[in-house]
Amino acid sequence: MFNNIFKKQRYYFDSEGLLVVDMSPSSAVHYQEAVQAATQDAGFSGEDMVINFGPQHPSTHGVLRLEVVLEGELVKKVTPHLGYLHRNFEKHAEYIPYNEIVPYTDRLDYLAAMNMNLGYVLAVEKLLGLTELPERVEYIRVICAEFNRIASHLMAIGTFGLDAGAITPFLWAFRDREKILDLFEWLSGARMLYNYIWVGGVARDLPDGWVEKAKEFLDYFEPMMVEFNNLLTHNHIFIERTAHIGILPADVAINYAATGPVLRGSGVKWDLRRDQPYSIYDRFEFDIPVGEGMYGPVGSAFDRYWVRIREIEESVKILRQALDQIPEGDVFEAIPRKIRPPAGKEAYFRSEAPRGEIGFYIRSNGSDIPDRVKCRSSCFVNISLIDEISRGQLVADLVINIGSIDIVLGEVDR
Amino acid sequence: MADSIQPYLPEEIKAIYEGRYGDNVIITSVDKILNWAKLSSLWPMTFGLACCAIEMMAASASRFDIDRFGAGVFRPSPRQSDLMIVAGTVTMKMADRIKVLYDQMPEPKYVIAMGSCATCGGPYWKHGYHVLKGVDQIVPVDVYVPGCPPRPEALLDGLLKLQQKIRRESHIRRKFEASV
Amino acid sequence: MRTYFRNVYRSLITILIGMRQTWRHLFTPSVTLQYPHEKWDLPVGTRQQLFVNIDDCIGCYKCARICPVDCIYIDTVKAKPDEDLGKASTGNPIRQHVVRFDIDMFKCCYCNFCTTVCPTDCIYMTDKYETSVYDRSNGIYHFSKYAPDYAAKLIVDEKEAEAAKAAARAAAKEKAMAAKKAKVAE
Repeated sequence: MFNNIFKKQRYYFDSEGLLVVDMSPSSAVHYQEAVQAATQDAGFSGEDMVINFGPQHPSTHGVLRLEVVLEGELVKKVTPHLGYLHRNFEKHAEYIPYNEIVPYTDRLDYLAAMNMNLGYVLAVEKLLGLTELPERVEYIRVICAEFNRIASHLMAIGTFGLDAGAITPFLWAFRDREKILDLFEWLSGARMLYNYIWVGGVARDLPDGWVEKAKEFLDYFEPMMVEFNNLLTHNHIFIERTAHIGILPADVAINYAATGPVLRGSGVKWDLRRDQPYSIYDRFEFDIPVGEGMYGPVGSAFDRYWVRIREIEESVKILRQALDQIPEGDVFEAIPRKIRPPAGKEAYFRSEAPRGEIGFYIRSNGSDIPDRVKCRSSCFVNISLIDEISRGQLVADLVINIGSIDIVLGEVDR
Repeated sequence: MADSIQPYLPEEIKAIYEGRYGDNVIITSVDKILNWAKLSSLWPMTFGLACCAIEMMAASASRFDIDRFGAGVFRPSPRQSDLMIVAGTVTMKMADRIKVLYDQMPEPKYVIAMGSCATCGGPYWKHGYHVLKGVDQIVPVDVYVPGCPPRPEALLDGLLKLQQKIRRESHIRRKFEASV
Repeated sequence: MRTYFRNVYRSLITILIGMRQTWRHLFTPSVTLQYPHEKWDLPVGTRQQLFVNIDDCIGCYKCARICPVDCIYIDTVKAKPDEDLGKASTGNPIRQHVVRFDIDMFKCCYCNFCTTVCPTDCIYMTDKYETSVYDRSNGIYHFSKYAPDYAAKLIVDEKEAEAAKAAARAAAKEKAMAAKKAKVAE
């Protein structure tokens, strides 16, 4: 007991009697010693086991650390520990001019880079008061955002199947995702981090033949989704695995400020593209899928997965309409030469990314470098649900829950 | 160098090391077989940290199959893998864990630093206060693959270069150099 | 009892539906690209390795300034009035010796900003992506065409010329101050 007075205090017991260990980087390698010291000193004994669902794990979708208190296989409490991918996007934004921040926004949610670009660019345009953009630019932006939504959801459902043990749907999802990435590479030059949507326009115009190729892809893709549904969605084993797991009631989801498929899977029909339309989303006809509780209670992991499948189909609908309606025009005419908003102005803009609602708050100080950029990320808010929905379930279901919330650590840690 | 060899080595092997027998046909054939075995079955550890991890997953998916090179079995545990592909930004908080994981890998082990962030901190090298400027500050890296993120073919090219490096190795000499 | 058999039947049926799907895939062509022997045709405008045609570079620093990551390092020495360095292929006259033009491709984030601002289009992104190296310093690409000793000589010459000019200016200022004092004293 007296040893602790002279050693640095590395642990304490919180109000529920659980052991909390100091996990600062300097003490990381002394975790074992700290836990041993704590258990010896306090005479702590119980049946609860605290394990690390560590940062390096095949199912945590990145470097997420979950401290799980288990009683056997039953999860009693889950605490996410973040910061393993903190790359200070917001601090970088205080040193770099407005238009050069766009590559950094790509790397926030790297699976939906176009949507991140779009969210940031719309916030800057709101700050500058740029509301009149060429029609062609608006259509191209919506097309890119929706293609990226399909690619991101394919990735989400592919890895969700992988978490549940199904390897084939993962390969099929990637095969189709590669085709979308080919389209993007033809358009912007890069496969994943595009730096394509710029303030006031886009980086390059659509190449000749791109619209036809995109339509061909949509024709090829719809039967593929039917095959995918045959394999995974209506598979009884998959349903048993996900339909009664991770139930999230609608009021809890709203209280936790969940957005995106997590919220819609609980039955709440809220989508920023329809309820607070930005860009030209009000011109397209599309439905907002919600979780219906097809095979179990509403708000289960299956419902969130089902919402993503249906959202892919809705995005295909939007794409078909946009590709038919796209007008001709010059995409470069509204790009400002110098981005220098007046001092003291601030703007906040929210948009619907595949994983939820992202918001960018920008404040300017009169120069061409922003004063402050804050990113309200969807995954950061959604990951706080993990404790609420996993209590009382098994460890294998915890994996399913993380997969169904669908987080990307680049956005969580920014 | 002969004095620093531990005393318990058998005479014949000491003689090889001192070059008395040189690279004879038995040693080189054994080396060839061992190297071929090592490079054809490099099992990577799942170490995707950020965006490069997605390109690593694409490299293991069906279009750019990494399994054709023997490296398709991604082991979750470091104790069963012999290649660590550090894909993504290494932060200071994660660096401790990387070192622990690297130490847990059994010999012979190799490291590929994939992407800009793992090589030198990448786009975050200037103002990143929490970013480690290059994973080679904590683990020895064999091959660096540039790109942000590198194409899956670039990763496969890096893997092929690593295989060339392994082909040139001499297993017996490396074992002694590690112990000396 | 009935639910038990129903569950067994349902599970078997779903597995068989899935397996029929995968069985059909056995007869479709594979999508795998046999990488070292077959390479994917990259589209025009793809963003891989950067290349600088140094004969066209006028040393304007635009690419170094716009790079968000600051991975382009340029040093220039102004050409003396009697030196003629020629013109770039787009007609811009070259007025600077580009003594150092290093691009650290490991820091580069492949955003393509530098190519959009170059006035002579001398920097562009090629489609070369097989550039893995064993040593980190091999990732820095040196594009300047001046040999290191000649470049060092140019820099030293420029420094001396500047120093001489500054000394001359200081001497002229002294003279003017002295003349003014003399005038005021008169």
